[in-house]
Amino acid sequence: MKNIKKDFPIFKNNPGLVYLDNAASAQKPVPVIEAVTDFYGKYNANIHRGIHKLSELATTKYEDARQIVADFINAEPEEIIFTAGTTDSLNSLAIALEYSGLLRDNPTIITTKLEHHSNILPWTRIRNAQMKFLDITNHYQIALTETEGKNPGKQPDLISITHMSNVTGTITEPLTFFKKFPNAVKVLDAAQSVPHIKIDVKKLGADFIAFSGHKLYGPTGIGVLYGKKDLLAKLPPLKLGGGMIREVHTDPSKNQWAGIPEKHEAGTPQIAQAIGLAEAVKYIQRIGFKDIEKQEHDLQKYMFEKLKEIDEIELYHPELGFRAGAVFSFNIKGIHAHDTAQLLSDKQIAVRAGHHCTQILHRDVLKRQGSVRASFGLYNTREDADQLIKSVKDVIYKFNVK
Amino acid sequence: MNNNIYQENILFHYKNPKNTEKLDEHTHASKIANYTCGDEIELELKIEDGIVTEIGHQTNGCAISIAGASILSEYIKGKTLKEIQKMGKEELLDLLGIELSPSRLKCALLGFEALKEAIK
Repeated sequence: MKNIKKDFPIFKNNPGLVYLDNAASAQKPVPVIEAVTDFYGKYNANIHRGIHKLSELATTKYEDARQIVADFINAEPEEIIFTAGTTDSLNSLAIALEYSGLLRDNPTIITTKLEHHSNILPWTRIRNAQMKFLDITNHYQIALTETEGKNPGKQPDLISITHMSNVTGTITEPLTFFKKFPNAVKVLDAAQSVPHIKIDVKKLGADFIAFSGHKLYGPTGIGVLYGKKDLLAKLPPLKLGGGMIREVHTDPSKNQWAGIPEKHEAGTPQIAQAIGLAEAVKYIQRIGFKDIEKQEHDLQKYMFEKLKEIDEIELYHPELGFRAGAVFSFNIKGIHAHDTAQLLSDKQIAVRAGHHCTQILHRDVLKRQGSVRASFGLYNTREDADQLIKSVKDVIYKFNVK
Repeated sequence: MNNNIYQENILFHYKNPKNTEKLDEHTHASKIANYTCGDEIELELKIEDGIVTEIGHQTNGCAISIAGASILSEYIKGKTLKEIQKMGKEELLDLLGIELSPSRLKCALLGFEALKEAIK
């Protein structure tokens, strides 16, 4: 994978940029940017059976995008619902599940202390939800035994876990957890994993999977909720409005919804963004996951070893025996995360500082107010890693911690 | 943009912040936090005959927030209550002498916000 950066205009426009905030959002290659512009410039129209040519073309492109995303994760096209992003997917799913009858009264919901707020908060709003948080081990893995909540033996109504942590890089084994709770609705937050490891929905054991376009080198404002066919058919509409109906009457009990996936996509969708997302998927497929995973795995190993060598660094990442992505959160002892991030930014290195939307992880597990996070993408190189290490050492020197 | 905000005076105050002892007695106090950053400050003032005679702050956070609170604490010692009430953010920012991005501005002004809160 040589010289991938040339495909991403952001690097030409920001010479010297060492972009290591991919867990927050990824950069876009030319085909994605062009796809969005082309839509708006050449065939922009609303979709959904508009008879005129532009509308037919836009509809075809939009549904092609759905097929491309479906093939990408080994799903059927009617199992792909386009949403505004992972957070939107999870929120809509939680609301629809509440009305679905698939959860009992006072539903027991299991999640973990590793989760992003977007995979915690939507569940807490379900009426009378009894939340249980699985603990995190010293190796930043999700523990299988429950340690919080009443009724420890009770089978949960829903379990939702992350596929890859946006803080520790931990890659989980969803099947291990899902097999333990066969009757629960099983949800997987794949926002971090989809861009970095090959996803096959038939092997993950999840009923629903959510991920975002903008982390996948695609546009902002688009995401996906994958759902097993029969569940999506049973689920009340995620959103209501135009385009998802068969019949609408003044007596709401007579209303009839469309089949899937249309039933779950109300209103004019993010057409340009869906088309852009499909281009991002095609771009990744042209490079191939084999090469992407190999490069990122090499970088992960390299960075882990380099960071471990620096005594002043407190690293929140699993040992090399555990499966993890190239996401590294750390603190330089004695220096506030914001100061570290600022000094790195002054050297053109883009990282993030704070709690990364994981306050429970930081407060209960890491026992830190915040951390600095460097996260790698498919265009990052060893040179980027070396720059980061060198600059971190400079920061330590400047603050005279050494 | 090569704007170094970690200049000598900032680092000096960060490493040896002034007026960080808890006061035996105080007339005004406040406690605030900056949730974006995780910076927190507890501030105590002793105002006698309308003049700030003592000040103590415990600031937990980034270098900018600690330096800001420290520099502010030195500045307001001996000032009158009226002068502090009239004080605007720009005065403190001039003292710090650095250009701050919007997100770091909040850090620098943490002590200032605590001061205004204490004398409300």
